[in-house]
Amino acid sequence: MPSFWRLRLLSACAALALVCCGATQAQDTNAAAPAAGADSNAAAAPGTPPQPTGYVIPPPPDPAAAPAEPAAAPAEPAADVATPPAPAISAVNPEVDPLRPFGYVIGDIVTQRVVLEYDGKPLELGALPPLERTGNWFERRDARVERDAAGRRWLVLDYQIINVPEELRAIELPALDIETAVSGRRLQTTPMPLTVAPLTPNVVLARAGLEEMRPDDPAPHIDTAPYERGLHAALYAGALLVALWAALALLRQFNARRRLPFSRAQRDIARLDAGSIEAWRRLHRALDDTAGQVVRDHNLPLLLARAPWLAPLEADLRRFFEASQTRFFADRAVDGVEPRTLCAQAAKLERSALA
Amino acid sequence: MKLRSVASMLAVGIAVSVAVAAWEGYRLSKARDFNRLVDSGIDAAATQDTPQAEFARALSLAARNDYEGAVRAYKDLSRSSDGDLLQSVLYNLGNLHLREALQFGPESIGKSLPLAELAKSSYRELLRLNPQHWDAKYNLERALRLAPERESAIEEGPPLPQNSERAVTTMKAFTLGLP
Repeated sequence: MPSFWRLRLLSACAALALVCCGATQAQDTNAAAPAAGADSNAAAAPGTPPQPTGYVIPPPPDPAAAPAEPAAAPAEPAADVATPPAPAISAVNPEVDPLRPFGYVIGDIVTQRVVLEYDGKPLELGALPPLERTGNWFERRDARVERDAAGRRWLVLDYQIINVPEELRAIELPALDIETAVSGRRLQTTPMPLTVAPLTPNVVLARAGLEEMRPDDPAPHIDTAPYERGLHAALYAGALLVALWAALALLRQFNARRRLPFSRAQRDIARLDAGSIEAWRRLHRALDDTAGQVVRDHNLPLLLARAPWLAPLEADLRRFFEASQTRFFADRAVDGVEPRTLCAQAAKLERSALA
Repeated sequence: MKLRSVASMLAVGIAVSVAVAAWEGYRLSKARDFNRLVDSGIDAAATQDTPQAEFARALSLAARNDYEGAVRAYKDLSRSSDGDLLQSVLYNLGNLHLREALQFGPESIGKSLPLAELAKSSYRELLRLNPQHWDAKYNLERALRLAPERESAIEEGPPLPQNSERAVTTMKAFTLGLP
């Protein structure tokens, strides 16, 4: 029995001590709370977490501040090493060429230029933005990289306004968020406001040119200008070719008269008397020059073999050789054989064959 | 002999240029004939066999209210033409759809809406080729008045709280049109 009495007394004391400790802690926190509230009002620290009221569970002990527990500590750093750290994504906000922010209507092209440099270093894009409708107002029509005169590279994006508000208002050219070639770094721009106005009122005026819709295009005329140009070009080319051909023909005739034996003889005989012996001699020399040797009646076939274009004159040439015998050795004139005429005929045949 | 060869080549060149001049003259004559027919009326011009005559044929069908035939003619032409003619084809095709849509009007939105969308598509394709086509801009805007593309509430309004319902139609146990 006495042992039980002592035990009850001991437990009552312990309970009293616990109650006293709890009340003291509660008074401490209640006294600290108004002070914290006054501090937050005075300092206006927005990031300060709200202070708890009432009973506070004490925070777990700081492992750095409590090096006395080495047994439990090694498990946590091992887990940190095993999981790789998440990649840090950084945004790059490069220079954007300023746009005219007003005065656009439907169908207009808005070209945005973003310099591909950051901190003086070139920015390489992972891929160009896709050509697609971007939001309610724009469609991206073209995306390309250009280099300016200073050598700087620009991302050039053409947007077309494909929708229009019912009254003049500001719409936003969409922001860009493009992956660059550097992992975790993204090129980002902010939306750009532009004002767009409608072309037509809500209610059409129904006056000339301002009806419900613009009329159809008429059937187009065929453009005749290309055909006219082709015709003129062909005619000019033909005229030029004809002129060249004529000039060439003249040149050939001139050369022939200067170079060919009968043509030269014809020119010489023209300056002599018609019946003079010199005219006969000149024609003989032309015949010899043509054959490449002295030609007489007996070797006329040799001449004709060398100059077949003289074949139509074979009979005349035979008569000429017979008459030449009489003219030179009998020393009398012969009727019916005229060296000037025969030479002219031979020269004509010669030029048509050789010129 | 060399001069003779040159002369022969020149003669050939003269013959070729004469042939080309004759061919171009023939085409010029045909084109002028067609233009005279266009001036006298599209039905007369539609009898020829050029792309411009196909265009005149489509225009003639549209004038006779043959919507299907005109659409078919313009579509065929849009696949084979380019340049200014293609622009005119796309513009008139858009007009054809829009005119049909306007006949139904906003009262029959079920019929006019698809036609207005086709018209918008044609005008936008044309404006992609030529952003300065003012008639296409005007008519595209008229088509947008008939079938507006307004910004959605999601785009315009304040951000919705997480896991919130986006529209009445997605709400549980609520059906429109039923008691």
